[in-house]
Amino acid sequence: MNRLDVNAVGYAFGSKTVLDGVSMTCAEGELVGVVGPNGCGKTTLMRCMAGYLVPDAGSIAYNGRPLRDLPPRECARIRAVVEQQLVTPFDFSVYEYVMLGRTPYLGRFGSETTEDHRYVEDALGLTGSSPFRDRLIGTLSGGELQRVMIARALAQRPGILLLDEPTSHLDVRYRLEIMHLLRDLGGERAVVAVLHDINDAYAFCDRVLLLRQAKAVAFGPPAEVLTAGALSDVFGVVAHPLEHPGTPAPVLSFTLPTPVRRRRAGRIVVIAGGGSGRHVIASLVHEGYDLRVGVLNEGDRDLELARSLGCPALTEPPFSRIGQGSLDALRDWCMDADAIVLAAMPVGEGNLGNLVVAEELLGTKPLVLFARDQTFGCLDFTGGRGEEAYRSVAQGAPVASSVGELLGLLEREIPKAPSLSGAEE
Amino acid sequence: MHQRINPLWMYLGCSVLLLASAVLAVCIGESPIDCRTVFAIVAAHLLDPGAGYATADETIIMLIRIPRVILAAFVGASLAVSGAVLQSLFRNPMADPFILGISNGAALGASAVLLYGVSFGLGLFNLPLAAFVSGTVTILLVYELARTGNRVATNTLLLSGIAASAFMSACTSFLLFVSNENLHQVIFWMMGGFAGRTWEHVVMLLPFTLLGVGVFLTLARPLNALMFGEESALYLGVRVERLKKILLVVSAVVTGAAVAVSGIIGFVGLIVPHIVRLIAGSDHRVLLPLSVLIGATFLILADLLARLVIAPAELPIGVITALCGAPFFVYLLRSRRGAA
Repeated sequence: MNRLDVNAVGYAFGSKTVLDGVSMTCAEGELVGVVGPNGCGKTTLMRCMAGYLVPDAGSIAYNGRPLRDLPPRECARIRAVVEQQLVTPFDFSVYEYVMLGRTPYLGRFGSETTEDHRYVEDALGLTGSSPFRDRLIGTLSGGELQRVMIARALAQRPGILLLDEPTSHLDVRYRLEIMHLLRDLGGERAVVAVLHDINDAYAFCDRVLLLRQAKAVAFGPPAEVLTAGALSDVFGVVAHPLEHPGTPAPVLSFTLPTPVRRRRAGRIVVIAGGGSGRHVIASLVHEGYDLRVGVLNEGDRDLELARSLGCPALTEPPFSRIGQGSLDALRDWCMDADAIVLAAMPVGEGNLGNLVVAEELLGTKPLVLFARDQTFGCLDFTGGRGEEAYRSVAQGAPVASSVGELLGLLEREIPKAPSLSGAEE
Repeated sequence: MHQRINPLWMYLGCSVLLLASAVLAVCIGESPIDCRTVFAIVAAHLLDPGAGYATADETIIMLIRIPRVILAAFVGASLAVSGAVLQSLFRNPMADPFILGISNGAALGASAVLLYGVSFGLGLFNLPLAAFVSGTVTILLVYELARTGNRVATNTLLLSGIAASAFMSACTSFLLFVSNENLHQVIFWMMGGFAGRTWEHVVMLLPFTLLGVGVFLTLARPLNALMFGEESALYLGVRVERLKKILLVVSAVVTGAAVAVSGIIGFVGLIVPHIVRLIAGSDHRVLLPLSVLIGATFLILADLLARLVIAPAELPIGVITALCGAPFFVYLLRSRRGAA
C-alpha cells in the first residue's frame, strides 16, 4: 500500500519559521491538495515531503519507512516529483527527457531495456504527450511542457507522486485536463499536489490541507476545510459558494471584503426572495446596519448572499410553504427592529406569508418598500392576493426605486439615537 | 520532427576525421618528408619498438612530430571534455575551463613549480599536480562566488571567472617578476603551445586524461539528470552533492594536467561541446565521447595551422584557438541574451 505520512514537520530558514508542526497523510488512491496563500510554506512543505529539504522537526515516511533512512536511488523508485518549472539551457527531445525518469533503475553503463522503453511509452500515452514525443523541450507550449514533466515523473513508476503547482501557468482547458489526469492517476498512487486554485482543490481533491503562515489550519475533505469562514481567515476574502449545475461541488466566487463605509447604527429586517434582495443586502451591510433576513427557502440566492455576509436568516426547506413558526419568528424580529425593508420579490402561495407579515406591520414599524417600478402584477403568482398586498404596502409606506433612495429613506425613518435599537426590549 | 543520427555513425565519422588529421599533421611540417617515408618509419618502429633512430627523418617523425600530435590530441580531448562537463554542471553554455579561470589558476601552480621548483616529491608528476591543486582552488572559489542558493547565473559566473582569472594571473606575474629564472621560457610556455614537447609530456598527461575521461563517462547518466537542475536530479535518485564535488575536482585534474604540459589554451572547452551538441544533442553518453574525439581533432588541426601560417616560425596555438573561439563566444552571448 502506497502511503505518505507527514508528522508534525517543522522547518526554518534561519530565524524565519516556514513550517510549524504540519501533519498530513495521503494514502493510495487519494488526491490530496495543499492550499494556502503565497508564502505560507506550501513549496517548502513539498520540498520536505520530496526529500530535498530536511525538516528541523517531525518526520516524513514513505510507505511507513522514514524518509531519512531511504537512500536517494531507492527514494526515487518510490516517489516522483513534478517541480514548478523546467529550466535548462540545453536541448533535449521529449522522449530523452521522459527517459530520464528511468534513471533510478538504470546502471552506470547498461542501456535502456525494452521494459524501460515500454514504461516511457506508457507515461507518454497516459499524459497525452505521444504526439510531440520527438520535439525538443524548448519548443513546447506551457500545457505540453506540464504534461511532459508529469510523464517523466510517471516513468519513474512512483507509488507516491508529488506536484508543485502543476496548473499555475496553464490555460483553462489545459488546467482542467491536468486536474482530471491527476484525479485519474490517484487510482493506484498516493498523489499530493500544491494547488493555486481553490476551486480545483474543492472539485478534484479527496482531502485538502489548508496552510496559513507556516501552520496547518485544517486537513480533511474539501467541504469541511474550504469553508467560507476558513477562507476568510486564511486568504482574507469573502467566499460565495455558488451551486453550479454542471459540477457536483459548489463553485466558489471570491470578493474582497468591502470595508464598512459609515458606521450606521440600527437593526433592519430585510424581507426578500428569489434575488430581489441582492442589491439591498450587501449595501446595507456595508453601510454598517445590523441586518437580518426574512424567511427564505434553502437554495435561494438571497439566502446564499446573506450567509456569505454573515447575516442571520430565517429559513424553510426548499420549495416548501413558509410555516407559521417561521412567520411568527419573522414578526418577532420585525418588532425588535428599527426598520423593515421589503424588497419586492415574486410572490406565490409558498412565500405569501412574508408579504402578509409586512402588510400587518404597516404603521407599527418604519417600513420601506424597495421596488424598481410599481408594476406589481408581474410579481404576483397568487391570483391577485399578492398584487393587492403590494399596493396596500405601497400606499402606506415610502417606496425606494434605487439603493441610494433607500439609504436616504432609512436614515430619515430610523431615529438618530443609536441606543434606540435596544429600547423596545 | 526531431530525428538524430545514430551515434555509431558519428563515432565512426569522428574517429576517421581524427585519424586523418593526425596523419596529416605528422606528414606536414617544416622539413619535407613524403608520406610514404613517414608510413615506412612508423611501421618499422611499430614492428620493432626497441630500434634506434638512425636518420634525421626518423628522429623528426618519432621524437618530434608524433609526440607533439599525440599531446595535442590529449590536451584537446581533456579541455573539450572538461568544458562539456562544466557547462552541464553549471547548466550554463558559457562555461569553459579557460573562461572560468581554471586554466589561469592551474598556470599559477605550474609556474611555482617551473620557477621555484616547488616539489611534492613526485618527479615528473610534480608539475601537473601543482597545476591541479591551484586549479581546484580556483574553480571552488569561482563556484562559491557565482552561486546564489543553488543557481549559478551567467553574468555572475562570467564575472567571477574573470575576477578569479585576473587574480590568478596577477599572482603568476608576480612570481615571474620576482624570480630570477629564465622568464622568456616560462612566458612562452604560458602562452600555450606544443613546440618542443616530448614523449615525457605525453606520459605526464596521459594518466590524468584517461582517468578524467573515464570518470566522466561513468557519470554520463547522472550528468543528464543534472541538466534540469540539482533539485530535479535529486528527485531522480542522484547523489547531487557528491556528484558536483567529483565533477569539479576531476575537471580541475584534467584541465590542470593539460595546462601543465601545454600552457594556457583558451576556448577549446567552449567551442567543441557546442559543435557536438548541435550535431548530436545533449545526451552525455554521446556528447562526452564525441567531445573527446572532436576536441582532439580540433587541437591537432589548430596546432598544424600554428606551425604553418608563418613557417618557419610558429604562432602560439592560443592565437589560433582565440581567433576561432572569441567570435564564437560573442555569438553565444548574443544568441542567449535574456536566458538566465
